[in-house]
Amino acid sequence: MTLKLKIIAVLIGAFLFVYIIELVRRRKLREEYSWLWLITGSTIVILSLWYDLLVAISNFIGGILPSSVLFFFGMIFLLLILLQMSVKISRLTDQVKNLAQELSIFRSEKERGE
Amino acid sequence: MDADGQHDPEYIIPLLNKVRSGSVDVAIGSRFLGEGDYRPTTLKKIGMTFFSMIASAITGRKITDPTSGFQALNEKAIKFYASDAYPTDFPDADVLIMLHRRGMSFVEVPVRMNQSTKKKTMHSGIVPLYYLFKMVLSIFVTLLRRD
Repeated sequence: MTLKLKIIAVLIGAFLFVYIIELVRRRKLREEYSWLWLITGSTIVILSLWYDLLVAISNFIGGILPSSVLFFFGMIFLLLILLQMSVKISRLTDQVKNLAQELSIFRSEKERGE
Repeated sequence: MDADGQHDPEYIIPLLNKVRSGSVDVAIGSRFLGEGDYRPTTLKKIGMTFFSMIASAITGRKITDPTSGFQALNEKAIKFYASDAYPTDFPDADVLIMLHRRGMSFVEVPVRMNQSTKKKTMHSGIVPLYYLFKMVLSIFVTLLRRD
């Protein structure tokens, strides 16, 4: 990996990490959705800085270019994050449906009561 | 109070009196101040001790039972608890630190609680790992806020 790429990767990873913490601080992001993002950011930084570890992992999974392996892992994490979002959205859909139904029942009970 | 029957209603009056007297905004019932003989599991005790030490250091008040839901609150405290800022997933030491940051006072009162009869608590399985992460992050950003 060239030094230039290394610097860019570390900056991106570090910026992501700090920005996620800032979002949690501002209450725009809940802690339960921040952990995967924080792991992604720190993994990018660690693997960019610790080249030997990146090479070891590349060899282990049979990858050819360590820098490609780096972004491959980045994509895997994004997949996991999207998966977490999809699962949560599914649950929220059920909750909204239930709330809507309960609200309708309460409304009609109230109208009949009057 | 918690709805699982662990809290002893006998201690409602002492908790209320503390808040009614106006000396504090929140009165928290602690299992570890001498009344009763509640004994948590070792792992849980380590976690509680760790976070109570952090919270005690930051707020300057003695905290022995950071996760206790047996509390008396005045109007100011309830307004905060009902807001979006209140962490509903694991209300813990970070709530005490938030109270402190908002200029609200609290004190612990010895209470008795029964041992939990439930096998599956909200802290079972892999959750302790997330709980540790979440608490550390929550306390960290709470300290970063509003200063």
